[in-house]
Amino acid sequence: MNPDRLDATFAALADPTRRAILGLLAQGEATVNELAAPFDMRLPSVSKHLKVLERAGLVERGREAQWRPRRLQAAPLKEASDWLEGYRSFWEASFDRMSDYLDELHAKEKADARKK
Amino acid sequence: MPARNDSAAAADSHELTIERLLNVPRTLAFRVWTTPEHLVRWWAPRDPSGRDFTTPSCEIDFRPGGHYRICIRSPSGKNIWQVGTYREIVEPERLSFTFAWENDGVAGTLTLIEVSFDEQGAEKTLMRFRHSGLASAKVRDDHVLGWNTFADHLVAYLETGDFT
Repeated sequence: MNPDRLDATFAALADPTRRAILGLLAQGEATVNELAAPFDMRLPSVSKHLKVLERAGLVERGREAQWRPRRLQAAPLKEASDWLEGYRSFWEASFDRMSDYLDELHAKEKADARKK
Repeated sequence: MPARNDSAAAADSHELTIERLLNVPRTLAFRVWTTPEHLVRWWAPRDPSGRDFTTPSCEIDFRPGGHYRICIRSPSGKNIWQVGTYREIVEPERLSFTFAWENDGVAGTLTLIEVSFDEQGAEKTLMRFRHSGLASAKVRDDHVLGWNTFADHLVAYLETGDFT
């Protein structure tokens, strides 16, 4: 695992335009022009976003010299999402224990109240 | 267009929220979140084979600005420390505190935990849990916790659905 790349993945995902570009690429490879079409944005801005995505390893360039279509690379996305799911599992499992403990505690407190 | 600070944006953009309906009054729910004797009974997950982590140490200074330091111990005996500072305390409605894993006595990246308790009738409480600032903590957490292996095991265990 490469920590720098993981940081880059999260930074890349922090921008709504870049998430939208990834959404477009999830439907298939596309050229810079095609990617720019839905956004009210000049080509250099779109290129800049693409560079961030490429640095994060989320997007790769095709070899066809003239069109250079971009392709989505899903592996870093999976690493990031696995990590967040790990946190979710950590807390969910703790809260399972908490629920059990609360039920036990509540039943005991009610029983104690009845005794008094 | 104003300049963006990607790392700061990333820090804000990753959070997780969990809701739980608890079958107890919210005063009780609030108490198990804020008292060491209760916290040690649940504050840590189970491992993949269903063995509980234990919580051998829990020191909390429960007031805004007060610190806490909790040790959880994995079933294989690894101690993992968590530290943070209480921010907002509104008993019995909500509380918030910072959260970080500690490694070799040094706290890692701070994240934020917010919990609220809404009454749903006299005997039920809707707990809302939010953990934010997670992106900036990623690398550190992986390092401290061996996070990926831990998460894989936990997810595998949770998917068995066998929690008895």
